[in-house]
Amino acid sequence: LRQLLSLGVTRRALVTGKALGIGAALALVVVPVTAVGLLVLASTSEFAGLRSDLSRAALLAAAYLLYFSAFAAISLAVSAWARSSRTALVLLLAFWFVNSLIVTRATADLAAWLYPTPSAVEFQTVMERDLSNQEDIRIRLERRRQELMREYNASSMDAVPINFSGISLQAGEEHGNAVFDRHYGRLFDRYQSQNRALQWAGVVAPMLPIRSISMALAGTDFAHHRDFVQAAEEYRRNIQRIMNADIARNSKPGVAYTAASTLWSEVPQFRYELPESGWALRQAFPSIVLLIAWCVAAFWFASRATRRLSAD
Amino acid sequence: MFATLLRHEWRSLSADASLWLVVGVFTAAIAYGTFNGARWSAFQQHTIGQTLSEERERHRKHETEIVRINRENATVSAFADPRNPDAVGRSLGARYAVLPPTPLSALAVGQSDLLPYYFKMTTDAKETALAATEIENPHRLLAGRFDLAFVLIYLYPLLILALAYNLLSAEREQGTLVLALSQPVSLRTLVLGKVLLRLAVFLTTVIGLALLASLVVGIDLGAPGALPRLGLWLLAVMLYGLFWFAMAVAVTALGKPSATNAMVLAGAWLGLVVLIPSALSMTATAMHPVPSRVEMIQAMRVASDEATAEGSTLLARYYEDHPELATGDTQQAMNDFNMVRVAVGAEVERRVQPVLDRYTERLAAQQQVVGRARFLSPAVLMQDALNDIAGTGMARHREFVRQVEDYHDRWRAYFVKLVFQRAPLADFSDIPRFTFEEESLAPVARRVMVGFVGLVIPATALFAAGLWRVRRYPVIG
Repeated sequence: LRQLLSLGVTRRALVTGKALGIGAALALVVVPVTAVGLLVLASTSEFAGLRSDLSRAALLAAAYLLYFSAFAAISLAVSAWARSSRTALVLLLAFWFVNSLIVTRATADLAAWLYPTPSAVEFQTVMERDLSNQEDIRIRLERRRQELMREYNASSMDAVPINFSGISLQAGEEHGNAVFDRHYGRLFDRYQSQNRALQWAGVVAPMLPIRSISMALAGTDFAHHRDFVQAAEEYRRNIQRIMNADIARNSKPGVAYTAASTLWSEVPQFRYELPESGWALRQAFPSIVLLIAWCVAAFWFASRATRRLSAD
Repeated sequence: MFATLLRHEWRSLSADASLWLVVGVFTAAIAYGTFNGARWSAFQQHTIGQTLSEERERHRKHETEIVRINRENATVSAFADPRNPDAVGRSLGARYAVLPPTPLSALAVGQSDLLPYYFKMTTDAKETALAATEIENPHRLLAGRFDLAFVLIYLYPLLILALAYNLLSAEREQGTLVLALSQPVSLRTLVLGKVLLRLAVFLTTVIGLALLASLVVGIDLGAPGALPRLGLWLLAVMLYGLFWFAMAVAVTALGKPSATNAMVLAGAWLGLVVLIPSALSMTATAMHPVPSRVEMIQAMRVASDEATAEGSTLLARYYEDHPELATGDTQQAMNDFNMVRVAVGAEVERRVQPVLDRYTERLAAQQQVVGRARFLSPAVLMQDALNDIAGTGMARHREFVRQVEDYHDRWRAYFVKLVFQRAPLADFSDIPRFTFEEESLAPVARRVMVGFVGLVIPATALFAAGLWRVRRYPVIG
């Protein structure tokens, strides 16, 4: 090092050169692999459009670039700052260990402690209590019955050309839906609070933000799951509505009823579209901020450590 | 001489700030890990309490309902009638089959967060009745828990390696090794002294801290089986520590500089603790993939459609298989909804059985692969041993499921008989109950010992190789 510095090379140039050198060496391995991965992705992509896949893949590549450069900068900084390569090695190994093994577990447990979820039994019991509380719909149905009889000027339901069981089935369905929405909504909100806490815990280690970002971009995080579940549930409710409306319209009380085969063709196909990559990025917003912060901090640390780099 | 050596080593070791740092970090990790394990154990206890009170309240409610119906001669729909054995067996009278945590379960969460520890028993098919999961954020299942077992398996070897990687090389690099050897002491004695002292320091710290932490979180040592299990646990911690010390000795004895030692040992740790275990489970699933859940659901749906269509024909066949259930009036029984349901259910299960069998077979094959290959990694052996000792491993859970399956059979037999006798229920106290028969200690100890052998053999081999090799140690760098 002393010899290098005696040549008049500035410390900054030296470190930048080293950084680029490391980068190039890594790029030699990483870039071809990524390219092959992209090709495979392009040839197997059939669900979402290729464009959405590509924009996600590009964003993912950018995120990983940030992550790796943060790591490279930290390594350089530590190696410039540490007095011996032994200390540097131990420090970096410790950093890697804490970053990739300790933090994920410790923070997941902490998040669960901050935002506890109920046990399955408790969840089920409370939900079933709400489900069986049907006083409201009984009153509402009675009112609807009176309305119908007035509308058709009938003295009893037999004279009304609408099968009331279709209406009451749908009312029961809607009561259930409201209860499910309330309980599952609360549970899922809990999960999301936990996950948001996990994202902000990225202050401690860069591993957490990159994990959240890559999950969000790959569409395998909880937010995507929730989005899909919601779409599927909406689809199911739509089928219920169509079927119950058909019962109300076409069946007669006390007579076995078989719907025409055309009924199913009224039900639309289920189509799920992956949310846009911008949406995915918004889910991982704290992580993006933190990853950039890590990168900036790492480079700042590296440049400071370089300035103080002494020749001995 | 040996005593002097130990005393000197202790002085230089305790003067080293890194020792205290290591001990400090470790104390914090152990405390946090034990606290987490205890919290999970308490959560399980609390949940079990909730299941029992839910069951008690539901049963009481239905029993009062029976009294009311009989008094008022009221009419209720068959599904909600607490006198109807079919409805009671299917949902109203459900009881919980519970696997209580052991006194030591706070020491290792193990697989108890993935595998259900209670089932709500009904007459439904086994796949439905025995499907239950606790509510948990997938993030947490992905990361795994920060429990005492994690600290012991991952952190403990790293700290051992941090203390021992420069066992001789540091003294050589500082030039003090030659000085020490100018005294009448052999290199081997020196190494032994260094290792023994570090081992003693370390084991006392680990075991002392862990015991202290367990007592603080309130592990009941008076409970049956707690003390012998604790003994096994201590043995496991010692053997695992020995393995890593032996590894450090073997690598130092090669006579390379400290930095190389550190790299080699860190690599060994990475391979044995991180890479091999994850590679193991991936290989096992790749070699014996289980059928997907969709396939199972499809099979059940087809089978249940076909069986429902055959309805009363099946009931006739069911009677042929179970003549003891026949009462006088078979003709009327053919139209009995409940009885036809029982027969159809049995048929659906018969048809789905092949898919289920394939699933169990694949799982067994996977476990066999892992069971053999686990000897490749001391970390996997240690995890298995700790889980087994804490009662949070696969073996105890399999035993639980086996007992629950028996219970399911008893449950069904009880209700099917009532259905066929058309006997209305008067109260719920006769409904079969479940208590888990704890596995005796002998098989646990046997399983754990097999794992210990897998630790002792490589440890001894490494240690012997190290001591043999150290003869040719380059004293001057």
